[in-house]
Amino acid sequence: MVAIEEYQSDAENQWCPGCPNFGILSALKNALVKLAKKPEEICLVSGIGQAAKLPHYLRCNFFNGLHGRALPVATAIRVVNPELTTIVVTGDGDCYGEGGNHFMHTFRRNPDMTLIVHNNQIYGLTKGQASPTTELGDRTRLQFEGVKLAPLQPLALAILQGCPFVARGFAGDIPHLSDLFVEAIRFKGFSYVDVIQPCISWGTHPVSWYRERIYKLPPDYNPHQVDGALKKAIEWGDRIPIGILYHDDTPRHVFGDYFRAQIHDGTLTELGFPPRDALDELLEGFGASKLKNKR
Amino acid sequence: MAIGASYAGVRAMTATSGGGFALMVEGISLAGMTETPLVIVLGQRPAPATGLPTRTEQGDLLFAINAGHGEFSKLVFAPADPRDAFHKIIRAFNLADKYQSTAIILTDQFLADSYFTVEQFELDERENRLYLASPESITDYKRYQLTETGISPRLYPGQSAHLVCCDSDEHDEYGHITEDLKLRSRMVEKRLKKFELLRSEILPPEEKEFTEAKDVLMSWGSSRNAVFEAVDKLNGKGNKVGALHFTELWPLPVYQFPSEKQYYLVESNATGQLGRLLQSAFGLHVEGRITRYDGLPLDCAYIMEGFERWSR
Repeated sequence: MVAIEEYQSDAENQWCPGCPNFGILSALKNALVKLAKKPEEICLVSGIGQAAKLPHYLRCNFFNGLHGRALPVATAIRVVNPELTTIVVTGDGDCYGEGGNHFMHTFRRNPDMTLIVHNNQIYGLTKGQASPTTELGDRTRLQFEGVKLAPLQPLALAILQGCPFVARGFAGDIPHLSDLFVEAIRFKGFSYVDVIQPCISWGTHPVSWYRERIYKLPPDYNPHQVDGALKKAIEWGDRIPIGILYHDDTPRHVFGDYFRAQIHDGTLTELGFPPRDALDELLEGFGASKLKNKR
Repeated sequence: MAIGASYAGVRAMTATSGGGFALMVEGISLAGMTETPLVIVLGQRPAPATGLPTRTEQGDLLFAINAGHGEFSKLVFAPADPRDAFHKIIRAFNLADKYQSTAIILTDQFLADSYFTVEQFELDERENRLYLASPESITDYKRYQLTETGISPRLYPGQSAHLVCCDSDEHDEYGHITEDLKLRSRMVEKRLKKFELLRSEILPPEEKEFTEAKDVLMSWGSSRNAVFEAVDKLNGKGNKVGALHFTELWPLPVYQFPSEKQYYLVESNATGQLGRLLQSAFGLHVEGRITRYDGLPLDCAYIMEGFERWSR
């Protein structure tokens, strides 16, 4: 049992009052309580942006690094220590813009960790420039005449690139989002949750715009089919689905497992330095001893 | 990924060359800010840009020393040959862990791609440690605790109930973002303080035929054997030549340059980067330069010819 108060951080919160980010923070705490994860068993990894500040507001281990580059740091942490629940917390600008390259290749690597993207469709930290998910034609503080580029389709991209767990949540529905996070964290392999998080300061739509359009995927929806999942991934406008869009439970290679099977089945920090004779043996493998004997 | 692995509690190294290194330089700054130990091997090739990607050069010395935005401590070593590289990398790991800093090993295409016949390396390093703190002795853990030396207690996440919090933003002692400007200054000083201690561990340059020498060839990295061979041959022809070879370049070692000698640079680059470094740090006057930047390694004949041209 872990009480939700254990995640209470002393750091001063810098988000706008009423920001839907608070909903995501609550949902994540609920999920971690349900999974009974102690603060020291959790590692949050983030980059730059408002979403990337979340690790400061949830008491646990964290590494708040470079813009767009949370995923490779987290991948390595997870490979070194499979006992740490590793979660990347990022935003649409950080993950889909600056970190696009890492986003794409992490699907292929399939590390056993979770990616949560606070998708507010805007660069909020820098006061309202279009992000990779701002809609075509939307006017922003920088794109006065409307965005001229079509948005990225991150969920569709994830499904096409073989990400085995793809979900969309809504920061305004905390119970539903908590359940999504529980499922994502439990999943063995890479799980990805894009969370619609309307920006109340710089966003191009009010929260009500999203509330009117969002619906939960029905119980008879089959998340195991790629073509159906792709349709749901790009459904946007009049109706926006939330829930687990794609779920592939066929066994597949998880990044680091092969290495662990070869070297050490556990946390790599347990390994320590190899004994002297093992190093001598390694050196002899280069044929050096034969030369020495000849002399 | 290397920074993540190191944060998680294991030793981590990455190897790259000019363009890849340049691309990822922001990571060096991240390692500097988060004080995450890191070893990077930089195999130099003729640049700018793609340059001559299958050939050799020593063109990245000043770049490596200055790599990363902002001011923080780091180490730059340039091994002389495979044996030296073997020991230097162990030393780099130990110092990176001890000072929670980045160590850059500068090799070049010549050293990295050549075959050498060598006697078996002896593992004479007595100490291999991560220099971790002991969780039991800590009640209130601060990853960036301000200390006399600037070195804070290092733990890794999951090691104990202590939480390990790191931030690329300026942070307080616990690792949380801060805008406390007084604290900012103290954190800058903390990160630089380590550098002074680190400097006391740096080995002086290797001297050859130095005491008697009138003229001294100064070199660094993979050219040692060629330079030392040239010294012997030049002295065989009646010169009084010595050599000063640097393999630990940053922080610069504490060293006194005797003023009665004449110093020449032997470098595989066009601008004499070691010379610029020594000039700014020691005010050293350089008499002449033997440089090579056609992509081929420095060899004994090239060095002799260059020296004879200067001393004529």
